[in-house]
Amino acid sequence: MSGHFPTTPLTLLTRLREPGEGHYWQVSWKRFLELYHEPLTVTARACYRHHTAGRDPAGELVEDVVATVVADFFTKGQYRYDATKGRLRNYLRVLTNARTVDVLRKENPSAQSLPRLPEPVSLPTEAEEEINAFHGALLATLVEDLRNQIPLRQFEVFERVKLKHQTPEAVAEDLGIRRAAIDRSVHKTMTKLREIARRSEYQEEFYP
Amino acid sequence: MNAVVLLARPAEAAFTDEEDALITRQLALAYWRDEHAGTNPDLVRLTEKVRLRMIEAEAPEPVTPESLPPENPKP
Repeated sequence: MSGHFPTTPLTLLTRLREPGEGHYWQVSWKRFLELYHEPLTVTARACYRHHTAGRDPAGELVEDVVATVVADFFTKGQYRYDATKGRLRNYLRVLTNARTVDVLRKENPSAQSLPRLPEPVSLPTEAEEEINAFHGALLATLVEDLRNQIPLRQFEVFERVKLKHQTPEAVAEDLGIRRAAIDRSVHKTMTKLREIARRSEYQEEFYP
Repeated sequence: MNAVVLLARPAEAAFTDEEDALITRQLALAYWRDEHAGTNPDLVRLTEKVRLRMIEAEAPEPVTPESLPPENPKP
């Protein structure tokens, strides 16, 4: 696999989207699951409701769908994501919808309302809840990318002040540095965060 | 308005206090959710399910009599 690693540093999202043999293994499936389990769960629930006229799915069924989506995404060649054909977010929705329909067919093989394979199944309109969940996952990915691209101490200052809401005075005293240095560090980190957020992979994922 | 859109503004455009507060709130929420993901029992169970499915997917196909090549015909 080492031959497939990029020669330049790429963000987590780019590494997921980067086309090419073996690219999926550049991001751990466990980390992907931590970051994206919530939007996948929300989407699986929405798809189930869409195909059952509003019935709520059992929690175990949703878990099974999400587990299958993630396992397929990382192990099966036919489910490889091609970034040139659309957004990762849309791809994951299509995959989740298809696995939800699979589960419904197993649950009720005589379900006539569902189209026969390989006919594509209708995808529900993306709900506000789904958009928010994907947005949260994208922000967590952004923070992860930031952590990987700045010095540890600089991230620690940002984390304590902006994410853990500790006062700049307390952080300065604890780290033995001046208050002004904390402000400068936070400003520098925000500039870096904005630079990462402006990259096309983030903007393409977010905008409808 | 959401944080990704605000953060993507040109670098020279400063945030208002309200925008800065919104970005900080949304980033902190995403950060804490992610920080707690590792101890979430639902996620621990889900991780096990994914692991099992990946093992199944990568396991070689079981050998069945039908999958074996036919014996060479005897001369």
